[in-house]
Amino acid sequence: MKKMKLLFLVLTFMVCFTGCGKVKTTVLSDNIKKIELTGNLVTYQAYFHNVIEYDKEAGSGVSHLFEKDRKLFAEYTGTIKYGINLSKVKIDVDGNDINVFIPKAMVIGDPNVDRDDFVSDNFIESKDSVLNRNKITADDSNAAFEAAQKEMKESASQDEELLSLAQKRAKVIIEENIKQFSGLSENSYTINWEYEQ
Amino acid sequence: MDQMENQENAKSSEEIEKKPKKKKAISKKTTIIIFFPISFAFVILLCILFLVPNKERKIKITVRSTLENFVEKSDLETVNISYNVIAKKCKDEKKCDLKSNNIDDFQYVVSCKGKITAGIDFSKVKIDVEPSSKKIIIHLPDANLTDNPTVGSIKFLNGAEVPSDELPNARALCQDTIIAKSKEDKNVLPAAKNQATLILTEFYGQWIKAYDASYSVEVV
Repeated sequence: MKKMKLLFLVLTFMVCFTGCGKVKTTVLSDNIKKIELTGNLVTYQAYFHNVIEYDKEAGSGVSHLFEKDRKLFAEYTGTIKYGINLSKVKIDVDGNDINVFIPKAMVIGDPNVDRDDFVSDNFIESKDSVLNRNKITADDSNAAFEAAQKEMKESASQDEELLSLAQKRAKVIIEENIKQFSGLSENSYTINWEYEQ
Repeated sequence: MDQMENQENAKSSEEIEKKPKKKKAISKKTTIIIFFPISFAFVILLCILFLVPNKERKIKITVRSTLENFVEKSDLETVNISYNVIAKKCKDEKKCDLKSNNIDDFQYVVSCKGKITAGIDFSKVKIDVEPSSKKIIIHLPDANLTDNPTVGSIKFLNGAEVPSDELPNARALCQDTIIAKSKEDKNVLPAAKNQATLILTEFYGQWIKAYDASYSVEVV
């Protein structure tokens, strides 16, 4: 009789624990689905103080005779955002394992360069010709501004240090969200990270 | 006759004895009527005084511990800023107009690549909870410049005429110019703070949905 009682107790415990595990996994899976994975997640906003080197070539034709190629240097400031595309993040729950794929960080939107920096007072200009001047005009200011924006976006897209930092911060945000949304203690699950290189 | 008088005296003395009993009964009722609403109000007051601030305190503690954890993991305390400048070496220090935009007015002009570091002291973060508007406000302290700038590569813009032994002086000039310009730059420290504000706003925007969706978080 005692053996029967013991067997009954063991079976009851087994049923309970198996059930609890399944419930926990389902809860985890359901809760994780609540994390919003749409749009862009901005994780870094860099401030730049840069120098642009703009070339103004001498014109062609008789009216531009004796003109010199000129250079214009200017300091400018701007900001640029880094982040990840959340729709590319993949979160799969497999039992107590959560597999997360984090895409590579990218530049989000266009850089915000301060146009006020592109005024003649802020320029350093190379020597002009004495015979026929090749003046720096408002058109050159605009062209320098456009060049600065393009240059800033290009250099930002290639800045591996900032791209890596932005990706790392995305990971931290997602990790904290999983922790918050899971409804379980951190010991109840394991997160396996995969990063796009 | 005496008996009658005695009976009347007895009755009046009984009435006299009963009167305080009635008073006592009335006062008990009154006490009950007054006591319960007062004690009820007192309990509510206690709830307001202790439970509501406790909720506020609990939110503050949770937000602070999450913040500390997040700051540590994401290196939010230091901000490295790319700070490239143009430095000008005067021909004559006494007669020098640094605002001149003619490159020939200077002994040399150099383009310097540099980095500055700003820091935010997160131990000075203040957290306010407004239960009425269901808002959590995280006040970040201002950023400040920490170390000396580091100077990377330099390029002489009218370089052909510059002797090579001038390079150390040019680097020192770059360092001084970066320090001077970054200190004068009104945008650099707010930008460092904005950077932290932006990421914390993104983070708490999601976090609060799981913690208590009726609240909103503002980082300022």
